Amino acid sequence: MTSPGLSQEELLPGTKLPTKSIHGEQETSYVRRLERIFRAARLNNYFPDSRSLREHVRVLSPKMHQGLYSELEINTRSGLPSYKEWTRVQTDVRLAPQLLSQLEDPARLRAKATEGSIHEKQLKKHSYYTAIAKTRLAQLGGMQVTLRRVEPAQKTAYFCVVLDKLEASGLFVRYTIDLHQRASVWSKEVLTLDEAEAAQETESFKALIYKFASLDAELTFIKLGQLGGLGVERVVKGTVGPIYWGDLNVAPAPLASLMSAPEHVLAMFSYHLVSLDVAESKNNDPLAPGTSGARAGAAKLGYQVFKDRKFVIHPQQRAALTQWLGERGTKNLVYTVS
Amino acid sequence: MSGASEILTRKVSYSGAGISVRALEEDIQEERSVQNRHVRELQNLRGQNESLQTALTEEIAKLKTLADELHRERKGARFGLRRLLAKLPFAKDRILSHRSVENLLRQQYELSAQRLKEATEFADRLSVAKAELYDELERQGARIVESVQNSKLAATRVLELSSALDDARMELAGADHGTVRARELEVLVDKLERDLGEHSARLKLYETAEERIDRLRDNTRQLAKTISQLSTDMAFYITTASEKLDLIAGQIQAVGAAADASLVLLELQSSLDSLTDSINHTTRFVSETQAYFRENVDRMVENLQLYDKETEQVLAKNLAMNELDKELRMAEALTMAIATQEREGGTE
Repeated sequence: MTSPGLSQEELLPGTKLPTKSIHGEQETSYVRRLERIFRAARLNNYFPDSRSLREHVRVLSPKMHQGLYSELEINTRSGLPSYKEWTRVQTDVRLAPQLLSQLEDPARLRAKATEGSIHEKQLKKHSYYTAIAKTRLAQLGGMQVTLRRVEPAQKTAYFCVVLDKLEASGLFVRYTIDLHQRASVWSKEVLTLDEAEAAQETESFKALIYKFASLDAELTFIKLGQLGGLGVERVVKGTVGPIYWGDLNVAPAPLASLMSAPEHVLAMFSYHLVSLDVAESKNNDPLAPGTSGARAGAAKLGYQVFKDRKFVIHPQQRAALTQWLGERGTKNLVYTVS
Repeated sequence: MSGASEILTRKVSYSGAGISVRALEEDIQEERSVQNRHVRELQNLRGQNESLQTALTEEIAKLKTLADELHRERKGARFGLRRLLAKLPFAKDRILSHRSVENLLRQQYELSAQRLKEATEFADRLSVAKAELYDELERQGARIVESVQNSKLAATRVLELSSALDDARMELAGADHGTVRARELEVLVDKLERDLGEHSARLKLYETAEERIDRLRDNTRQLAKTISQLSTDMAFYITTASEKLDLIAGQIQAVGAAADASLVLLELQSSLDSLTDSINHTTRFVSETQAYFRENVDRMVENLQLYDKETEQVLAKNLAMNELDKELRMAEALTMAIATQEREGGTE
């Protein structure tokens, strides 16, 4: 059941993500460089956990799986591995203990393994699953809610909500939301406390935040603020990617001049903050539209917007990027990785 | 006499380990144990196949529930009510969104990916079982060849000894009782009878071993064939399911996000139909495989039990032999030896 004019592979117009498959030395090099980029970016707590990203990606390396997988699929729009690959690692790590228990003893496999035999493959699997069993996985879509404080006199509880997600665009985002909830007979609670005062989000609240993850922080702030009984204090959106690789994907027009060699790389990590306690709005993100203090309701809600972005690049690109940023009037952190 | 002495001193070079009733019994027991292990493994694989089927059936139910819910959304029934409620001043701020379509689709995809991984690993275990069964077939074949070769050697020796024994007996019958010559002939006859008995028993045992291992090989062949067919079918299913899931993976996030954002559901329903269809194929395949397993494995287990009784009867018969049966055995062996000779003479 496809619309006329569409290929079998594109069931909904514009939704098939562009991908490219790499293998062999290019695959090994990509994974190694990606790990180093995550490390070099020095991501703080407002971004998806850097160590989890690095460990998750490391499992994709041919040195880890020893050729059990023939290629690696890259989302060329984000420059990160595709959703299928992130899921592949998640599946392998979660199933590793069970699969290890089903494999024969490695000594027996080694005795029977000849080149290209099924026993050789099983031996590689034993080694692979053993190596990855304790891998810390990146969150592809998970929420954590913590209680910050309670003010019984005001019947108000203060929470911090953190949502990590691999977005439809292929970028990793972390939403950090500080909010408070006032108990009221007229409003339905979105966050609850159990007897041990452990916070738990309701299913509908989780769904709401999940869907808003693809929107910007400011719109999320406004939408949440419209919910009765809920007071939003701060929304922070930290984004990992996109990453442009000289030999894999093409940077959009504004950035194309920064990529002139196969070894060049341009990794971006944006930070958008909407908060009640920021003195004034400021846009230090050369790729984001101007702060929308003009948005309807911004003055009423009293928030300010701060946008920033940092870069990880190849050392050869430093001069070009510095000039490019200067032309746009921003001062951004730039790290290098060779 | 010198001819008979020469036969007695000439050793027969049987290949392999020596054979005896006990050794043959132990060998057959070991072969049966290996085969029982293979059959148990096949039964175990059948059990795992059942769990895969159950898991996939559950997934279908979830996918159908999701599809039905989305279908209702598309029809606008619930959404229309929400739209209405949203206009009411006291209610509009309190209306929270329904579950995220993208989240549901991704959860289902990730679960399907896990099931597919389990199926892939299952297929590899089938390949291991298949490889080991074919190794087993080769080994059993080699043993059969060895038994046939030894049978031939034993048959030749039995014929030689039988002929020498006849000559010695005739000469003894003509000799004067109590003379040195007569006594020497009596000793020779005893030795010839002893050797003939030994090699006759060997011939019988080698023939039995050949026959029994041949039957075991039939079972092994059947097991290997069953697993080979299942392995081929599984590989095909996994390839098809992988392609389907790959197709969905590339779109599921964007499709889900689009549905969340704009509630456009027509093409989404097509995506789910595509995924559901592939899972339907999978379940049909697994159901058919279950039937195949049931027919073949149960029958093979029954065959093994029947085979046990026959083996025990043959071996019991050999063990129970005594002096009164000795002549009968030797006559049997002689017949067998002649038949073997004729057979070998025809094939060489």
